[in-house]
Amino acid sequence: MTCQNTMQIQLNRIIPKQIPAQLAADSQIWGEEVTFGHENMLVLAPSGSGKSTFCKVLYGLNSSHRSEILFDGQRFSDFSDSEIADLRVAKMSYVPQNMLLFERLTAWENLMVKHQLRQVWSESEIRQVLEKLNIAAQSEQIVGTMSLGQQQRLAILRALIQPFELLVLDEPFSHLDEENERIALELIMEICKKQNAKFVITSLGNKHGLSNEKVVVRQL
Amino acid sequence: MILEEILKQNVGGSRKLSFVGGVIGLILVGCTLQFYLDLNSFGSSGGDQNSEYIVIKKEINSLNAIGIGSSDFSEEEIALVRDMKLVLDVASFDYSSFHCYLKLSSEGGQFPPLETLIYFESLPDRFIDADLSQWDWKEGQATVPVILSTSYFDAYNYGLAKALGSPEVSKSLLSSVKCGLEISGQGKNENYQIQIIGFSDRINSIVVPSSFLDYANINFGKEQIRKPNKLIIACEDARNPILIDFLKKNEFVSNEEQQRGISGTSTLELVSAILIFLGVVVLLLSATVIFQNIRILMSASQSSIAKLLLIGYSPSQILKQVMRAVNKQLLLMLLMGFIGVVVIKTLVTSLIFHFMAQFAGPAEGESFNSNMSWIIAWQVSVVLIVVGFVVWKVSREVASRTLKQLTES
Repeated sequence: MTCQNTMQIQLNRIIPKQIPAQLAADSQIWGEEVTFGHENMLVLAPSGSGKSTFCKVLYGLNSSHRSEILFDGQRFSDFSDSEIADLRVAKMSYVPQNMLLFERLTAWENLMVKHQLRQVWSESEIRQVLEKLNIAAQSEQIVGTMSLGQQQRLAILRALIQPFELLVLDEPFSHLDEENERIALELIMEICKKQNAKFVITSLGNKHGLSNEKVVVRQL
Repeated sequence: MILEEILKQNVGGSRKLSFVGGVIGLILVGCTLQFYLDLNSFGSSGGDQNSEYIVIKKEINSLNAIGIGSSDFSEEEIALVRDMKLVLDVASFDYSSFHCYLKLSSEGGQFPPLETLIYFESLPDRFIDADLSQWDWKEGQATVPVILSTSYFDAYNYGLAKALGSPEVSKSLLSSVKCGLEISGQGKNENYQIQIIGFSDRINSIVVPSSFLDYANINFGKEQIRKPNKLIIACEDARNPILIDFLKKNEFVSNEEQQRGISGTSTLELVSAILIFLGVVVLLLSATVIFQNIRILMSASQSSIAKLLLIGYSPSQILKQVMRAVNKQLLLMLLMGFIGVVVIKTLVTSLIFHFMAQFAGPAEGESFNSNMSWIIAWQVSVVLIVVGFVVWKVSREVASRTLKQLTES
């Protein structure tokens, strides 16, 4: 399960301002020294316990804390804007809970905005995965008119079509039915394996069929 | 392209407003500067060799009256004037030192019968602002050509003719009349006829050819050696403060022709300055709208920018995209500004040409037209390009700062 080639993110006793002290005291992550990236991880937490905050901290989007986050041993606060951008196109990818797609663009255009940065996938490969995720028919549809489930699959695909060492997914299957959840999870695992990357998934409590051999489970 | 679409989604009508304002401002500044340069060049090319002329004298004071002082120019003073770096050319006036007696018959009642003492002066032909095709006199020639100051002509029509109740006369009528002239001195006399062949705005005197004045001074004059008391100077700019200081310092006084020029030029400069000021104000306002537009565009795109940063776009890539849209607008604005200046210049030039040809005669019209073309002056191009560059530079700074604020928030 462990791999030394993937990127390591170390949280050193971080407690973001948004996290109440009571929650932090019971957490296996907040206020602890935890390293991510050397194993696939499933982070379980009930609603409102800071799953999105955790993902943002991991992706370098939340700086409402005084402690240090180390990316491969380097302090994140020392990263320049272009280094952060490089990190997000080559080493880390992220599926936010609210997807953050460009709602006035089509599904295909949303993928192309990402694709323009690092063209590691061919357009036909992207179309094949759209088929696999059952959203090929919506590729020319304006995202704002798509269902949340379709948007969620599109957001997952957008995160996958770049090189990465760590994939952060914030409740990525919350709007998916069982079949589409299974397809999406298989795709995530397949691509992570191919890229020798690790993932961190947050969930309300559903283990999504992931066994303890495949992931480390932590309570937030 | 998709990125451009994302950022363009929030563009409002104020962008069009700032574009139109910018074009108007550029045209106003460009046209004003262009016409100021054109009128200056037309004004200066109307004279000879683009020069301006000043006649200088020495102030007559009470010492002159009692015979102690002198209003003559010494050789050293003439050399001093000639060596002055702003003086292009200098010449002295020669004057008559013999008796001249003018006899004008009534010419059938058109003139009051007149018999009066007069004087003549001469100066090198290159300083005379009149048609010199009949400007020639050889010994034995009975008719002496004369160039009369326009102010004398005006003094007759608006002064003497009124006082004597005689009709006013035109330049052409006066030129057709020959007057009797008797010159005397050294115990002899000769009779001639004089004919006015032209009028001068520049020279406030009665001018005859040097050949006649030299002949008459030698044969009839009291002074064989005459020191000049008036100099005529050619210079590039009669209003140059250094030249004015030089004249004042040496106690030379100038004629008033240039003062009239100064007044006209000052009015032109004042009107140009006001128009340029208005143009700059319009430009500044439209530039402010452009800058404000960039802020609004970026603030309205805050969510899109945040999404772009999230998926890995760097602030510099986003800035580049924002500036691509701004660059297109500025380039189009500049192009429209240039076209506007050329079109307006061509239209106004052609209007003035027709106006001058109609009211001042074909020759004046042609003269004006040959000095003007549709090509705009390099100074105007430089000013428009510099304005465009400054607006671009400030726009980039505004976009960069706004993006930084958005990134930090």
